[in-house]
Amino acid sequence: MLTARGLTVAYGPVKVLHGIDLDIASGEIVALIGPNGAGKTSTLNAIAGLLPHQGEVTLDGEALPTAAEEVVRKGLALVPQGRRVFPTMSVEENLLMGAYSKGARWKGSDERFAPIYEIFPRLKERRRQEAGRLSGGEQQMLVIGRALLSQPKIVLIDELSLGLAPKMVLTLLETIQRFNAEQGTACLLVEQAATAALKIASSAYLLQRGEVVYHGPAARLRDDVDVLHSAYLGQGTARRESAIRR
Amino acid sequence: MTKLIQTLIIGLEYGCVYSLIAMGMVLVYRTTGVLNIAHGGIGVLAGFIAWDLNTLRGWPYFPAIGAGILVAVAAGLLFERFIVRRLAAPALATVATLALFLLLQGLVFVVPWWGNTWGQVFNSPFANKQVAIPGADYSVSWDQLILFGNVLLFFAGLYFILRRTRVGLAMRAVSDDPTAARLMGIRQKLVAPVVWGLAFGLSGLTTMLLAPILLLDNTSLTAFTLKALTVTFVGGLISLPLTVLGAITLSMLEVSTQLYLPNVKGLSDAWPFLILIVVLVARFARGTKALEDTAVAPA
Amino acid sequence: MAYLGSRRLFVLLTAGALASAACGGSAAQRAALKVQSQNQAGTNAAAPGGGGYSGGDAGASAAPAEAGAATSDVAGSSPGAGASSSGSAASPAAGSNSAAKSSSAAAQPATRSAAGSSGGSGAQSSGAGAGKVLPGGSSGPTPGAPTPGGPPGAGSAVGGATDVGVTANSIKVGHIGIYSGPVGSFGDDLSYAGRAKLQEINDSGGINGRKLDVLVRDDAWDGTKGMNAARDLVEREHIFAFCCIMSVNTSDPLTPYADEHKIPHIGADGWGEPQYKGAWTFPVSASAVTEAHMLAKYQAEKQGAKRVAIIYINNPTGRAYVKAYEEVIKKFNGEVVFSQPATFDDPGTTTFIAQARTQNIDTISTYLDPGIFTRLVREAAAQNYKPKNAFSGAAGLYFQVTPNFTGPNGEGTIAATHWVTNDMDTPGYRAYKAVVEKYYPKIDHSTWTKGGFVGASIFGNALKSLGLEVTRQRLKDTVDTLSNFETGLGPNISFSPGHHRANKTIYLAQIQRSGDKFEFKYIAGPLVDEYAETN
Repeated sequence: MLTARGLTVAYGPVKVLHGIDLDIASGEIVALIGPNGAGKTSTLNAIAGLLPHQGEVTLDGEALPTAAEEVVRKGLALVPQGRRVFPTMSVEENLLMGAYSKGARWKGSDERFAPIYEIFPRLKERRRQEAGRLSGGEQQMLVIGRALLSQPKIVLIDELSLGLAPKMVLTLLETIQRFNAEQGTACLLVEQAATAALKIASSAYLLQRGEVVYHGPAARLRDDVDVLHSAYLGQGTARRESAIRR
Repeated sequence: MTKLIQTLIIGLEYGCVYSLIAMGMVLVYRTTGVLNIAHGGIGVLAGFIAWDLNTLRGWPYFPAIGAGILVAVAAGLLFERFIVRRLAAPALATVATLALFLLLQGLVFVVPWWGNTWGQVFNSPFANKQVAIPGADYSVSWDQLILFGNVLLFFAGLYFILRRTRVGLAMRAVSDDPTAARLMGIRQKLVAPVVWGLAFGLSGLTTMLLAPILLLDNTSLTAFTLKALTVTFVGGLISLPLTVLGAITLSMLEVSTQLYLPNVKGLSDAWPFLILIVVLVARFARGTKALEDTAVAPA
Repeated sequence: MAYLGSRRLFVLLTAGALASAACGGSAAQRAALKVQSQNQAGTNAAAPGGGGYSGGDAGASAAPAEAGAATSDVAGSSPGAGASSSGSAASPAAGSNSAAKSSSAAAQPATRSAAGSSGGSGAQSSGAGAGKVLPGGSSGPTPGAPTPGGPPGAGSAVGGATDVGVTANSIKVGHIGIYSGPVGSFGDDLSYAGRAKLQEINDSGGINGRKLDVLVRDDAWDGTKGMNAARDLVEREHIFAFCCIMSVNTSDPLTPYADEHKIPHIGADGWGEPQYKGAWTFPVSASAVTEAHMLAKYQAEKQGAKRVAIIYINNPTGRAYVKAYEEVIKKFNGEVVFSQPATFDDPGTTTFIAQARTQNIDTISTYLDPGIFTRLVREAAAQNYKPKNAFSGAAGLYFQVTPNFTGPNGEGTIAATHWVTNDMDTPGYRAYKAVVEKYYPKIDHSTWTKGGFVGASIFGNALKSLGLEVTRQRLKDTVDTLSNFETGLGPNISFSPGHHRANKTIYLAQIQRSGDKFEFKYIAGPLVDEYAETN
């Protein structure tokens, strides 16, 4: 469904993404993992139209626009890093903004928000509260819920687990899994701490210094710790490192 | 009793003046992050254009003020298109509003047939009409009643726009987090001109409402900036109800000091500063707490 | 939240500064722009040259630059700010010779009219150029200031540098005016008449071969700014004397300073009482106290004023006005029932009227500028109230803008002035007007334009009478014995040592209908203040 061919991103003369290829099928959950600075976030931002890039990105065979405000209208939603809620707006208003690209108004918003409130009941309790005053976990719920309200075919989530308690991460991932199963929304999860994401993903990409070094079933990465470690720590040191850890 | 009623009426009257300017500043801050220092002054040019059309060219009053307000809206659109859009940060735009304000004020003195004076009399068709307040030995002018009505309209209108309309919510989203707003599909190039056009238009309207009560001049309209700023801080630069409440509180304090303690001469002038200090202390204390919350929460 | 927090912090830190800059800066700019249009409009102006100004720091600076030979305007009270600061900045090497050359060059305004005469919005850019290009500004022999102790006898034979600020062909004069601030929009007019007279002196040959080199500064009607400018003029520019300063807020604190430094301060506005305590200060206009005395007396005698309320700008002169009015009205069995300060931005005018109405006031007197006064009058109209004896006020009301603003609601308002009123149209007034309007055709002739003119005339005459031996002490001694100087504008001026209250004369003018317009018309005077102190 979502395909990228030769995706290249450069900050001035410095290339951070060296023409990678990605394929995500409809309804699939894919993990994009890799060490710090591998180019994961750049990949997401390029696809979502926040970063200028070269290469071809298509959704359902149609080329995606290059401006973020247009990409979302095509059915691709990005949840950026850092829980970017609209802090002075209420939870409800944040959610309405999520449905902005669908032409949402207050009229009929209750029905629209119902599925989100169902998966995140905490949001319903706090729907009139300022988003800036929510806890970190609640804010992450809100940004995910907000992204889902644009009724995307695929949602890209950047560093879901960053700064959250492990239990909260687990809850969120389970929710995503459930939503995926119910609604068939595809999901590209970017994670530095890979383990949790690999549990729910069916396939995985391993990114290293701007290049894809592994593409295959998520289960293999999850089980073969050595592959993962070599990716994060570089060849040679991997085995020793993992030995020490054991 | 007479004095009490007078205090309440005059307090409300000046509370409206402060609120009118302050609400315009809140609108701009809330939707763009820019502290529009110039809000009270931008409308002066629009006022002069309306005065020119009405007094010198014989246009009827309402078309004249309409034209003045349209000029203000156009100035806002141009300002957004050629200045704000090129500036990276709201802080820079804040400085730009100041520069614009100086420029517009200067223009008033350049047009030769405007007489090179700093002010003009610009009466509304309702000049010299009053309504007596029973039991208060006091009367208010129609102009003041119209001002009061407009403050209510302003308040309701802004409240509605910012909370209920798509464009209003989009403005606030852009102000809160422009990148996240793009990801929602909000087209900033369409939203920002609306904000600035609206803001400048409101500034023009403010001038039209205040000119018959004060004077159409630079000094009177800009002198209220400090007070308007004080009361916008009461509302944290965001809350309209708190801003209006702050405006009326400040004005009531001033009026009651002047009427009940006429011999304590400095006190009335001190209120804005006292309020500002209290508000800043309160807000800063809250701010610190909020920061701690976020720092703890992720763990 | 942190994002928001930092944004708020920024706002808080900048807001105050910006707000104050907004007020000061705008006024500075409008003064500059106003001068430009004055110059552009001046069809018969002798030197229709520059109109640039330099904005050193937003609030304090911006004095208009005149193209005239003698007048080099200096913007910015801090030495660093003014790229255009005259004298030393122009050329330290310029000795006395170059000053002579520059004077002759200055007679041909066309040669340098390019400097800063471009239109409105470009005003800011031209400042630096104006200061340097104008040759009139570059006469200062600042590096080697002459020794005051030089033999006076020798000096009288050859002229030369007889005292600080004096060279063989120039005399450096300091002038401080109101070019910005709350009353800047008409305050600048107060300077122009005096400056016109000084200009005319230069254009008709100067002072025994010396040209007056006038350095102009802005005080924004703020004594602190005014004193900074004064110190700079004395200590850095080494001026010879101050002339025709019509800003009470500067003239008052300048008086002890002039005594301390033994610098003549000729032709002060005299509105504030402290000016009459100085040995080196020579006020020419009358005091606000004298205005209050005469207004109180007139209103008690002719209008039967008994219950008076006074609204005033809260500065020392304003408070003195209230006190003086009260003293005299008591002598006529009247009383000041209450008084209240007013500002530009509070409900003061409204509460004042409400009080006046409930307290059965028959007379309202004011110490205000035309802007606040207009609000007061409008507020009274809105409350459907007019005091029995209408309004009255200090000379701050005697401007044509006042009746223009107040219209029919202000009818009957009585204002004090210290010279013949404009509608008296005496030969002296016509002569004054001819000189002033030659240089500044669109001026609003007020109490202080006349005062500035008289001050400059006394200054010029006294200097001329000194011959070539121009010293501060001799100038002071000469003015100190000035007897019956004919102003042509009403009172004649006499000084004697220790008695500098030369003008105790008040004329009263009343706003009256004239066709479909309203104008101040003469109603009384000259009234000589018998309650004034005798210093």
